[in-house]
Amino acid sequence: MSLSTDRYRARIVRPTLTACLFCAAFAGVNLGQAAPPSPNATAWFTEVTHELKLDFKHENGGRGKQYLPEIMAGGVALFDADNDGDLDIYLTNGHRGFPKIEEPGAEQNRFYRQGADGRFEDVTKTSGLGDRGYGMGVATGDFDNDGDVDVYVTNLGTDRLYRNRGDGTFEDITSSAGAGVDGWSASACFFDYDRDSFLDIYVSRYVRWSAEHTCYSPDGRETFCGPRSFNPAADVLLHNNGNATFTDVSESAGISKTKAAGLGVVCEDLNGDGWADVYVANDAYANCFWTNQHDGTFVDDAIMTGSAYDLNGRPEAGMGVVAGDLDRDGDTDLFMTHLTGETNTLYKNLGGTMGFDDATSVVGLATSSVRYTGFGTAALDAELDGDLDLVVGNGRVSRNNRIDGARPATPWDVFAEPNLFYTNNGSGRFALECGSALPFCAPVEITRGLATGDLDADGDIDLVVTNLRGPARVYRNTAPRRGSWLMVRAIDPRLHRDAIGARITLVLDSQRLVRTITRAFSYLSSSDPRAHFGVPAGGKPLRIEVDWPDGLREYFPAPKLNALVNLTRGTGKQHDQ
Amino acid sequence: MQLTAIVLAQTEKAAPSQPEQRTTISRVRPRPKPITGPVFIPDPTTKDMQPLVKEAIEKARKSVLDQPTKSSAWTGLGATCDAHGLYDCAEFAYARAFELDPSDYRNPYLQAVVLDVTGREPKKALELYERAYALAPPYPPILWRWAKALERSGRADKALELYFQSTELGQPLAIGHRSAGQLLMSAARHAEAELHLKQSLAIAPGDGATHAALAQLYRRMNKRKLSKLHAAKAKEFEPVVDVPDPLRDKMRSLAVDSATLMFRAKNAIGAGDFASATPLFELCERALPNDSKIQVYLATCYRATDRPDKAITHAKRALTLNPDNLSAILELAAASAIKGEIDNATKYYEHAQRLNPNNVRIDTWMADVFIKASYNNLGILAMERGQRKGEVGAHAHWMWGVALTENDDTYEAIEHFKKAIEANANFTNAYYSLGLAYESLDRLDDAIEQYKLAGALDRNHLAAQRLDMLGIEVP
Repeated sequence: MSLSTDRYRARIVRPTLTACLFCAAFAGVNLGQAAPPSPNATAWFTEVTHELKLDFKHENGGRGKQYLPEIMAGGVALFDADNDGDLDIYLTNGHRGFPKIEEPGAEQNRFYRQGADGRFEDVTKTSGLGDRGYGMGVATGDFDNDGDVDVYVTNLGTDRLYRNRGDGTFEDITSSAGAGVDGWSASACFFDYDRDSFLDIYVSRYVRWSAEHTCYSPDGRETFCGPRSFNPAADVLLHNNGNATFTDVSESAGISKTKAAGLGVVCEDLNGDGWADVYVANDAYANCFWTNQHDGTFVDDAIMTGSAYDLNGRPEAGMGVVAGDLDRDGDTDLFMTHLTGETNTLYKNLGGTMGFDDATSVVGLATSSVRYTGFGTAALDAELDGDLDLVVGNGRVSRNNRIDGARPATPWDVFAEPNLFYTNNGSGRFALECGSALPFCAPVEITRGLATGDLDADGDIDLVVTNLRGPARVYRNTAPRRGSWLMVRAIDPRLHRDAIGARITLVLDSQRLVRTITRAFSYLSSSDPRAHFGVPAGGKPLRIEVDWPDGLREYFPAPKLNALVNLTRGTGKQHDQ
Repeated sequence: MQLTAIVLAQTEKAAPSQPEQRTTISRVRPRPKPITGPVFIPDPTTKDMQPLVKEAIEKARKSVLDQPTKSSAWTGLGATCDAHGLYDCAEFAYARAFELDPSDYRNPYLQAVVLDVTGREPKKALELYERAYALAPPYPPILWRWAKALERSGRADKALELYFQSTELGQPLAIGHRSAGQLLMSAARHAEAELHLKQSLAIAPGDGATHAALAQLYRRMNKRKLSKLHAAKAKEFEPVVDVPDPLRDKMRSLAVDSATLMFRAKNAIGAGDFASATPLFELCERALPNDSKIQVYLATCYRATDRPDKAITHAKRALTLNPDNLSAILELAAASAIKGEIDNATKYYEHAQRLNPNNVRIDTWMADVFIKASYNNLGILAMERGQRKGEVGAHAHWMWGVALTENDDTYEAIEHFKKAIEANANFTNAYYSLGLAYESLDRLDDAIEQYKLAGALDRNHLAAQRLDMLGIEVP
């Protein structure tokens, strides 16, 4: 038997004999610098879904005919709905009535409140958040500045705005607020683009889907159509009028002229001018980099900034996106997840007006991602060493060979893939470290949404993922700590809420760590907005600088580490002394 | 995926004669490996596959079964699987083919691309590119893809070297320059980057990707105007430049899945080549017998190639599958008109109108059909009906004018030709028809003016010949 025959058999015939789930999941994949975990090593993430009583299972309504929406949902939000200091979980759901989106089945979005013991209780019925639309994503933010967090749900159908009554229960005010965007919405974010103190809403929209299309894969089997099989939809910008109503200003803001199958979105200052911009990961179309013109309008600078295409000048299948200072040079970089056959992409911010450079290969993120289809993603300092690491939730959109250990039942098992976890070496180079994070990486599922937050208030960042036709999973951060931590909540007392868009710089004796107060990144998801810093061992904090969304800069004294710090606008110094 | 084992007698393929060694490569070519045991032939699961794909794979497998020691049979299987996205099978077959004929660069190259694009074994892909390059005649795609794979694995310097080499292989390679330019830009070697990107643009001026790269470069060089200019062009033009790769094109030509066949057939229709489109749609029909759209396409092809009976059969089949298929109804009307069954044509036309009463295009399309079938009065009536519903287009006005001309209503025809030109200033036929109409009214100067306008748009147009006959120089 020839060598290649042996190899072929090993891959195709024998994987079922492979005892190690991890080995099977990553068969044939270059694991980079990942080392197999020693038997006594502590996994960096531990799954605690059952322990925390989270029993959500996603329903996509798929019944044989392959409709595109079935393979794209759903999202998750982590937010403190009842202001009790802990994070609650909201999950979007599809329904069995699909594809008749206006005739839902019994399924609905679910809301889980965290109790004092850290466990979650399904309070959907009493919360008012049991949306029965065909759910896609979720955004959270206090749009009415009343001190509690409201919820915007994106649907295939009409989106919904739920106002928090202040006690963790919600009322649907979509109609009165004029916030019901129709069509197929994907991700959304609350942000204040015009500095009028009220959070506006940006909604990425995907395609004008129709159930009539049928598509076939190269082997002649029926498959999910790609976005190019339909007309793309234009995104929507809803301006907050300050009186619990919104006005669709997409046209006057210059947003509506681009139609480009939008999915992931981040809404924050990306070019350092102090005004919130919008970056949209478009699927099979050039990405959009909406530069805020400071007059209520936006201009798409994606091509000029080098963040529209891949290195071949072609649009990629943008799914999820996260912004963060990945190389610790003080500006905001972008990381995006893509379809199999493409790399996930890291656009390194060159600073000033220089735009971005596709640094994916240089930083070691290229080869390990080509095999997978990435969706939800986040940048977090997992081991508290001062740099941002990356997590990616994967799951195919077209059938391929079943990966051994795939958890979804047939026929969905052939869409399932393992997830990815990369550690940052401190200078912005990444290494695949799934060996240290098996509980997160190894489950072979169809992951979509991914949100982050310190669920157990222990000073590190935990993860929640959604799996299409599968359970949502909670991963507690159990990484070995290489430093201390600091959690910063930035509050504008005039607005009674988190200062969304504020830029927090923790100045250490040897470096500056930058985070942004934002909930919106990843895919269809919304995270805890507080700024989390890992402070490497020996790092001495000197001060905190805050660039508030309205342009004010304030300086706060060196914080005590391993603590949550509340920074209130107006209480810092305006000069660095 | 399953495997079929065939136990072969111990055979050894005679080593092929060693091809001439390329002077630049010091690599010693490996000898073929003997086959000494059972041979496994990939047997992809064909459940739910379209019959044509199944047949293609079975045929390629049979070829291997018949000649298991023949490298080309394995290459054929690899390519057939590759063309249909069956990458495990493709990779295995290419590898086997390479074992049997280590002198053939095609197999390691094609295997490398499979490994590369699927992200399975990036290191192995690099090795195979290198081996293919050592064996190959100057073939730019190998260099370019090898460079791209190196770039992806973080080896930018080596990648840049290969991009440079890919541009020096004889034929100008725009993508080689573009890739080099982009890497140079990342290395902040802006002047060199500009040079290469400009070279790329000189070879392929309409490449949106190069314009995008230049927009990015000029922004970094703080040349804002140029940046904006190229950004606008990048939006205007699609990225068109890919690496020309006849070998992979040949592999892809083996694809017989419905999506690929449909793509080719639609392209043929777009080029007006209904004769070539017809057999492709017939194959599509085999794959998807219950697809009403394919039935309509077949009806269109048969009608356009003067087979109205078959057109009617397929249009009726489309209607059986989807009773509201408007295109099928219009095809029935058109084919009936061609056959001279004007009552049927009218009946289907009325049916289409009932389904979609406000659609102007139904009327103008039917008018076109009637006029082409020499039922000018019916055509004119349909045009009038359409115009009552809304604006009719340039082509409709022109056809309307043609019908009126044939009915000797020249003055009214002239008005419609003028409207056609008004709607489309580049409408050569409309200028020509207007010229003919003027000529029939003995307004020779007016006619010549129109012929000149048509000739200016298309020097090969009949209008130019007409001017020539009149002894007037074509502008």
